[in-house]
Amino acid sequence: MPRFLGSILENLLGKPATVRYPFEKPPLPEGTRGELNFNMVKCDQCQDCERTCPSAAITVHVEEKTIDWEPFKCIYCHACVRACMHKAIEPKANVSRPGYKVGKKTFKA
Amino acid sequence: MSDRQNLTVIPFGPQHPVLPEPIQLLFHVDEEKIVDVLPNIGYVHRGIERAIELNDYRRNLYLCERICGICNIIHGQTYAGLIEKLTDTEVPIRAKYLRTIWAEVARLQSHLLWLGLFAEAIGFESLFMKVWRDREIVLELTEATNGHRIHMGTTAIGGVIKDMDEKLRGRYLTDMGRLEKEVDDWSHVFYRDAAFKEKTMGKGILPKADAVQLGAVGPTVRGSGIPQDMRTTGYEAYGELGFKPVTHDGCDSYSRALVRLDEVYQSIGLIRQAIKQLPEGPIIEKNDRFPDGVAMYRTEQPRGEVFYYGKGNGTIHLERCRIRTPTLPNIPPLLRMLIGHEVADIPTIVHSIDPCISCTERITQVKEAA
Amino acid sequence: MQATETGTTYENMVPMDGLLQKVRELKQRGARFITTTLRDLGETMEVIHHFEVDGHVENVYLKLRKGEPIQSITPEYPVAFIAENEARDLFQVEFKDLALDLGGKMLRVATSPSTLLKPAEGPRPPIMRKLGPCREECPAMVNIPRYIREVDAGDYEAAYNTIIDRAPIPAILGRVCFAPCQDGCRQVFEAKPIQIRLLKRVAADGFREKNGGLVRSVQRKPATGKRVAVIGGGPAGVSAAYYLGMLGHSVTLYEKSGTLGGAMAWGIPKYRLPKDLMAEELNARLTEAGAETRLNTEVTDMDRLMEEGYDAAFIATGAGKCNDLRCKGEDSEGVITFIDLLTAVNIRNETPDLGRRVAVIGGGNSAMDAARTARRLGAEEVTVYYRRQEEEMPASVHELSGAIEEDVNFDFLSSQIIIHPGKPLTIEFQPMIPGEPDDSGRRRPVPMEGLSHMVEVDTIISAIGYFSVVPQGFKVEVSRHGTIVIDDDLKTSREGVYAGGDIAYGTSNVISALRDGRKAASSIDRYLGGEGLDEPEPDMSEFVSRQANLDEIRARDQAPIPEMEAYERVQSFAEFELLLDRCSAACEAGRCWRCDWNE
Repeated sequence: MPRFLGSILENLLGKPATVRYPFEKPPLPEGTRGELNFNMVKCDQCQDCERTCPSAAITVHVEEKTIDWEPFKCIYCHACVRACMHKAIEPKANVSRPGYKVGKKTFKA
Repeated sequence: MSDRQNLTVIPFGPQHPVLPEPIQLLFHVDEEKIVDVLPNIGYVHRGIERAIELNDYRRNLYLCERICGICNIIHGQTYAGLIEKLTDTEVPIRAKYLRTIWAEVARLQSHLLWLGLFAEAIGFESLFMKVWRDREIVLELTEATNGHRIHMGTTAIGGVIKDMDEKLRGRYLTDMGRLEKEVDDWSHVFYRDAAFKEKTMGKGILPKADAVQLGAVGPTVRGSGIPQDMRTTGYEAYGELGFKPVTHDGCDSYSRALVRLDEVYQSIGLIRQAIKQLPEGPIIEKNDRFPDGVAMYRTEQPRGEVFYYGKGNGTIHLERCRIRTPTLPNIPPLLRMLIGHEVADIPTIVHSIDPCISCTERITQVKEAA
Repeated sequence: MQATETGTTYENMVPMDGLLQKVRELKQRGARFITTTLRDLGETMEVIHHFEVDGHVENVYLKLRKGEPIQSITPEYPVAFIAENEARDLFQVEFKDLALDLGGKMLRVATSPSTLLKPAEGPRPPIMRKLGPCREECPAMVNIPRYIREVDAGDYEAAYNTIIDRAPIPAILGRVCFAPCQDGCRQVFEAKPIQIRLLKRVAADGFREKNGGLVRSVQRKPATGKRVAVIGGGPAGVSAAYYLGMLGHSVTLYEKSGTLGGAMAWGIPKYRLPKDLMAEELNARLTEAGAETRLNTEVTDMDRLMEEGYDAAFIATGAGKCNDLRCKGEDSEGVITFIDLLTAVNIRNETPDLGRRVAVIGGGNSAMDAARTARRLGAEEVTVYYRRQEEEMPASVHELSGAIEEDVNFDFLSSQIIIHPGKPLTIEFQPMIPGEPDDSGRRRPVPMEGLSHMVEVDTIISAIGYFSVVPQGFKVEVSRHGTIVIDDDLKTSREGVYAGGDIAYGTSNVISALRDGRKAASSIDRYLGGEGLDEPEPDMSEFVSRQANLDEIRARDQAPIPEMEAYERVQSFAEFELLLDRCSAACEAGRCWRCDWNE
């Protein structure tokens, strides 16, 4: 117990290690794997992202030129971001928002 | 298993503050002494081996990374290693070094987590908070590498997906220096503190002969003086780094804790050495073959030896994949080491084998209500 | 790698009674038990026990019928009880002598009214392989991604054979095809589609150099004994003759003129397609197919043809009549059709003197061909008059830019009204303004009344399109446009007679005619009792992986078309487009994104 005194004093006199979220937000590094945004202007419906997704969270509708993405099925591995050759999938460097409804997000041009 | 008429049965689990995942142990106690233990495993099963057969083999990498939360990157590397054996792919040397570095980062993170939880199981809460605060250094390092604090996700079949540039390598070395300084601050508590020794020395004794016969793996068996470690077989870049396993001869919870603490220092040293020795070259090798044949691959997770057996038949699906995670063979030694101790010692002894029950595979059959 | 290879084959297979003996042996060697794997194979079960001994893994295999109880190894290795209990509950098998029985606690059954856990049914993520947008744009569905990979690897023979599988004249196509595939390439978004046509030429010329000619040694299918007549030696006819010959039929090809090639022979100028190469490739295919060629034989009577003993016929006579200028004075001296001019230059190798000033009326590829030929014949001022705007011209972009480089002038929105005969000729042109769009989507030109301008020229070349004429003797149904009526299988109204190419679809292009030839060959084969030819399907068993260095590939530029300088080109009729060298070809082929990946 007395061996730990140094650490205890340092802790008492220093500032807390935690960040007071949501009042202060910690800086997230670049490349943080967060939510996805599909840029439908660049997309040419090649279905590469649909073929790569491990959890089948992306559905591409080729004729209607829309994409359905299910944020609850997504595992945020960003394999689709690497697979898209036109760089049409833009990852947002944020922590995904809390969700309360299982459903799809549709992206249109 | 003598007559149990006058014995009390205490169910430990499936929910208990010291257990990270559910497992039930039924203790037959006589006054305060434990006479017999029966395990009741089976609370967490996700049908992963069946799911592996249904998916195509390149998506299974993402599935295998999510078998365990803490030792995720090593599961991914083992699966990728298995597929590389089935397709005869030679991983480039730089990719092997990078995988080694990231596996050691995962091991650091896991051991620091365990040290904190063990301190808490003993009752030393401020030590727990201090250890987890230092674990944040490792988590922020992981986040800077690929974006998530725990799931690094940098493995690909045939290599790794990203490279470490000059800036990141510098950051790793700085952070390892910082971490080592912080660990020095509190490691002497584990080595020399009298209260800690009182709670762990002489508890949970696993004699050397029993450890061999019962098939223990990982720090559980290295705490009994047997140098069994998969990293000595030289997979990935361990052969080039000159690795020697850490053992302690005490055969009790104290030695197992010391083994893990020494492995923290050893991992920091291995990361530094690997970054200095990092060779040039490509980071991924792709070829055009489907997995075919039979192969086995074993690596060392923070908790012990993980064993993957895979069979492919030249198509996109694997025929069978068998995964044996390290906590499973550690359960019979656990049952052995609990007998003869008192009820108050149960949490520390159970915790000293580092149970990660979510890795183990059981079945849960769900029937929809009529 | 580490030595875990022992025991990966079935050498350690033991029968049921030998199991404990083998396990005892392993125990004496100091083996450690790892785990047990079970596999359900329908009628049988496969049981594998994994042991670690001397630093490597050894497996012990057992195969037994379902229902037979398995000998447990817990008498020797008591720690195996967990693995065996799990196997017992998961696979419903019996174990004999199981030391510690956990009483079925491993299998938990949970009943829940609403559960998010669903039993796994089948592979959910879509496992598909696409053909590739380039291949889908090609009328003949040539396997473009595959031959690009073969050119990248330097295997020109394999690339040549891949192309011939669907379009039999790669050396010609590499020079003349209008390449709709390049507009379908996904990299057109970044303004650098793969130069697929150039790579095709690299494959064909590379094969020709290595092989010493274009004739391959290929096997025809066994002779079926049926005879087929092909009327017309253009791309559709030669293509049908090739595929029918390879399927084993005995083919006779009838060609009205003295050279094979049809519109490729008379229509495509020598500076694009050297005629000796064209003849070499067409003859190579006909030789391989074992077809008999009858040149200078015109067929106009179908009944008489069929009496010679043919079981089926394919009409591919093409189009050869030029559209009228529809203005007064169009039959004056000095007004020639592009068909006459190009036939004289390309086939008979004449060099007619067109004078100093030439007017070409029209806006398609034929007009460009006529204008550039006129430049090479010595005309100094060549002007192309088109009644619509530049962007609405049907000519392909690189023909247009080539013509501009060779000092051809253009006058848009001018339509001819009257031609005054004389030496020099005088044409009166009326300016037009674009009006409402018509059925083709282009804006219909509206004349500006009262305005006109006069131009003096030495020769007028009319190049406003051509059409086909079907002889009465064929006795098939003809549509009101003058083309033969066909159904989806290219069958005409007459039994056993098929038609394709320009005569069936109106004037189109070489690659569409090749497709018609192959399609007709497939239909005729089925009519004669065979199976026809296969259709393109994505082959899931072929493994194609994306390259590892995609970022480096994205940074490469498109390979430019190697051509002679413009001033050099107009001096002669030599082929001005040069062959892409091997290194650039590999670099360009390596740029492909492999849209048909299956890794």
